Amino acid sequence: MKAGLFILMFLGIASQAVADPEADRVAFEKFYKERLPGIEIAAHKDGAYALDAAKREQWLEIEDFPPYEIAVDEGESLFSVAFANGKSYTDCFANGGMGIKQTYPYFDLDRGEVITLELAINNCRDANDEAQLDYMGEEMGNISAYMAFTSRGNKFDIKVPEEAVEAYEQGKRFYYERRGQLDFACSSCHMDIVGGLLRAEILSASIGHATHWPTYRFKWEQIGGIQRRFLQCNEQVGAESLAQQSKAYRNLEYFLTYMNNGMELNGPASRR
Amino acid sequence: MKHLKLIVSTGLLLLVLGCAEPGRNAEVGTSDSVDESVDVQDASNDVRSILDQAESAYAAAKAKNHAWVITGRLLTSASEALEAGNEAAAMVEAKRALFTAQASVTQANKEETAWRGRVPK
Repeated sequence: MKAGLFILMFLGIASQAVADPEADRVAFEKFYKERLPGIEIAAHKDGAYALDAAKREQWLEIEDFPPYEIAVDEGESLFSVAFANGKSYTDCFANGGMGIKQTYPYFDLDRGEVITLELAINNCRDANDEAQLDYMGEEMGNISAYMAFTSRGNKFDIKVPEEAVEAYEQGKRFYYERRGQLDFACSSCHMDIVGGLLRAEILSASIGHATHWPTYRFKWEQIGGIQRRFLQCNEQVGAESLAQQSKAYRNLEYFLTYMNNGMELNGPASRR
Repeated sequence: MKHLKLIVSTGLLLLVLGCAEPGRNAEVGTSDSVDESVDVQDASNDVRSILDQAESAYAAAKAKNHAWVITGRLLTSASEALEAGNEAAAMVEAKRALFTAQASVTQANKEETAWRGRVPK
């Protein structure tokens, strides 16, 4: 009897330790299907605008004259400019950098770390002796907006090889950990009270959180990446934010994007 | 009766003068002045000690990505008050910093395992 209990306990602990990203994703999707039964999973790519008809109508009118349009045009120009050594961004990316955002972030087996699109842009500049771009700056936003624009309609296809499981788990843990003076986890807002209101804002589902970046936010008055939003979320709950492209934020982005696997990319987008 | 009144009045006068004596000494003497500076030094050391504890807890929380914004602000304002010689204000801010830093460490420790309970199955 005691031996049987011991074996059951051991199996319980072992099953906790074995990560299964796909099982996580299926459970994640199931959660939102049950919590918001009237909303198709694919519709969550529009974030909170999938949850409120009036706000959606206003947003669609904004999208008639999208505020990120200039960023896409400028991004295209910046992307095509040759580096001092004669090479360009097209030499650093698969398919010349066009229509590839659905594979980012990915786990680089040689480096042993998660590589986001923004990090890859700066790695490309590094490799060609160009100065790094500010991750919260306009130029980075514009180039990534252009690259996202060329990936519109593609579906996320993020892989988690065995070597990447630890990074994935770190990202998952960050998502579910409570932090800050308000003692909130990402899941507190975007799962526990998803669809509810925080002041006048409707809380969106995390299942569409990775699809539309970079995004023009009216609060920022410029286009910015998903990690800028992580920073803001952390600070809103009274937690100290981390550096852009820090290992923790990259792992979080990796986990969150994996949870969005199979969803259509529709970035860049606009948000309040 | 007159003798009695005189004795009582003289006694009261002596009592008042007697009570006032240490104060007069403090005004003219040096020993009490030295004590006051020691008190100021002690207060400053107390604040410094609490600040050190708060900074240590803050660093521990930061290492776990669990530092709170408020702790950083309180540490700064406590240090500024101490530098300005305002020990009382520095003490209040330092104690608050210590309290929030310790709370953030508690949160980080609790979340080591608690997060698993929030993952949908």
